[in-house]
Amino acid sequence: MEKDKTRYLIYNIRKFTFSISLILILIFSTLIIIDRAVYIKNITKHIYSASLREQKELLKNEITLVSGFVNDFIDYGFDKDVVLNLLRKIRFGKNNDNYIFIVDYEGTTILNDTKKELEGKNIWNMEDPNGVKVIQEERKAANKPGGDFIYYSWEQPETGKTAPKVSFIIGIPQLKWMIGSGVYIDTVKYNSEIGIRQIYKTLAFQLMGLIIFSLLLILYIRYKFKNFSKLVSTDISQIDNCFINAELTKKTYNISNINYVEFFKIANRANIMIQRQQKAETEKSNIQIRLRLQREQSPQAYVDWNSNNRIIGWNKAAENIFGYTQEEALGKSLDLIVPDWEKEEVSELFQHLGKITNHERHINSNITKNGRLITCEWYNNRIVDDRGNDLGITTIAVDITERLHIQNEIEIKNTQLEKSLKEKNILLQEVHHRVKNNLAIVSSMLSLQANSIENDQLLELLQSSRNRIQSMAMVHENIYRNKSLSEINVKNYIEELIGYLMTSYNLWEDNISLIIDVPDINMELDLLIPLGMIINEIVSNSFKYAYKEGKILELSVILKTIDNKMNLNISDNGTGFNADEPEQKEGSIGMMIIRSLVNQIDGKMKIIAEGKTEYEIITDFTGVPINENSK
Amino acid sequence: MNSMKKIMVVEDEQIIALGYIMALKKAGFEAFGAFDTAQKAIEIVPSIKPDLILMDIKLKGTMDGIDAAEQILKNGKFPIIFMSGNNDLETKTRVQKIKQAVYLNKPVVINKMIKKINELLN
Repeated sequence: MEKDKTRYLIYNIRKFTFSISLILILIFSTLIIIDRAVYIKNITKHIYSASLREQKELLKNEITLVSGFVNDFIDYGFDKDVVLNLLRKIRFGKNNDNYIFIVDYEGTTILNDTKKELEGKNIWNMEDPNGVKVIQEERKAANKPGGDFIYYSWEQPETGKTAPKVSFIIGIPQLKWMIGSGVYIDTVKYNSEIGIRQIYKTLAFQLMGLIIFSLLLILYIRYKFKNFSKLVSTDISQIDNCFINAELTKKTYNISNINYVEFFKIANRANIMIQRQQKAETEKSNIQIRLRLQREQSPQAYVDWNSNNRIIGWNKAAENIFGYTQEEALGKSLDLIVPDWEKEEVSELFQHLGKITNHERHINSNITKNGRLITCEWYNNRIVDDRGNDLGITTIAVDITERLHIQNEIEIKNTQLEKSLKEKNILLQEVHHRVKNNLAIVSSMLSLQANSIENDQLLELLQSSRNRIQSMAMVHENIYRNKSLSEINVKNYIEELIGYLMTSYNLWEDNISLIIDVPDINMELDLLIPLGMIINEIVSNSFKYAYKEGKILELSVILKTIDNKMNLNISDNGTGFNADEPEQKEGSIGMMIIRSLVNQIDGKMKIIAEGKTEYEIITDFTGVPINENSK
Repeated sequence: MNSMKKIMVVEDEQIIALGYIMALKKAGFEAFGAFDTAQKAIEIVPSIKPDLILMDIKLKGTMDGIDAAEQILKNGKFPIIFMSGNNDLETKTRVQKIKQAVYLNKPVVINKMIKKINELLN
């Protein structure tokens, strides 16, 4: 960064130096020219003023001197005419053309060597072309001690033309003369101009020198700038070479000789681009190598087709699957590996590829070199370049002949299994039906036997046995009827069992108040059969011993399932266990059966036998409500 | 007459077991049971020290009666009467490997069972 800042600073200084130099030169030159112009204007005025002042001073000095002489001459007794003759000859000034003129106080010309015709004439009222009364002005000047200057226009002797003049007039009171001499202002100007021209000449030389110097300076700056431009163009050409090399050789460029930070940055950026391009090309090359290896070693056939559906790519797996070598396959059409009856469909598929989608999966038959028919799953992709040009189709094929064969076999086996299962289920149901029938036969035999028995107790025993058998038979009947093989609806079974028992004991709705509260759940046989037998024993006992003629027997059978527990509660409004009835005693067959069956279902039983009879049996249970079962 | 020999009943059908137990008691044996799993039977044998075991082959749980007999016989010699409705060759082959074991088909005739018990105990 520091290097960059220095570079930047140097670059800026250079850049601005050239511009500023040129501007400064222009400004300086302009100032000099303006200064000289002002100088010339001022000096011209000055020179002119100085010259006029000088002339006036000369005039004053001369006339004052002359007036002094005149006074001295008169004092010494010289004759007026002699003095006049002396004065007539006096000439002074730069060009020796200044002369003395004398006019008396009344306005009569005493002496005027250039205009002798005026001598002796009174010109008191003479006016110049501008209306100035010359002699009267002279008089005013002569009256002033020491004299004074007057300005008027007078005829030039050389040209005869009237021109502005300045004269100094002094009075000589003794003689009542006004002595004066003048100088034409144009003459002063002319003399000034000579001086001015000299100055102009000098200035001209100076300006020329300045111009030459400026030109040289500009040329020098130009030369230096050209170098600056050369540096810039050198750097630009370096950058250009950098890009050319990037395209050709992909090598980065040595940018250490670049002068300017902007170009340095560009070159740097170009080098970064080259490096990235190199990296990308290396990666691309690696990917291509990997892809080529994958393609060559893949167990899947890679087949490439050109836009005329001719084979242009054929890998090792394709050779193995179809039997044709690469040399045999290249250039061939679909006919090589597609059987006749599939050709139309495959051709259409190839045509359609790229119109709706570029990817298509298709299963079709193929034919190998040795005429074997196989089935392949094809993954077809149409390839287009960035501009949408068709580059053909690339396909990957997997031989699925074996897989299909196995799938087929599995399907056949599954069908056989399903059939077998159905048959088994039918047989199982049949078994249940037969069990029910056999139990019914046993029950009937007992019933037949009962016909030859007169002993009430024996008859009751036989009836009890029949009821026990019937409670089991109903389970099997339910299975058979409901086409279920392992579960029965508890509610239906218990209602049916109790209904049967009521009939068996000649009890009807008008002599029994029955509450059956059983949930609509299914239960497995292992639990339901013992449960049914338990209910059979308890309810039978209730019908046998709790019911009294003329009274309503209140019987409730309530089954609840809470928290994986089943609670069976059977109670009646009987008087409890009757000690006189042998069946009711603890240890009787019925109670033994109940206890054994409660044991069998891993249950616990509580009996309340005083005042009423209530059995409560609790066991583990996980049942499912019917509406979930029916899913 | 049978000097109260102890017979252990291993049977998961309680009513059937009840029948066995009542018949055994009637025949003068001391009957213990019924135990409905192989595990319960294996655990209870050391404390009962039965003279004979009536073993149903199909039991609740993962172990069957033959598995239970193999375990029990590691710790002592007990005559075992296996009972099963399963008449297959595999079951019979397994039973034959158990020494002092007898096989009775279900439904077991009680008289036959008592007779077999007496034979084995005497």
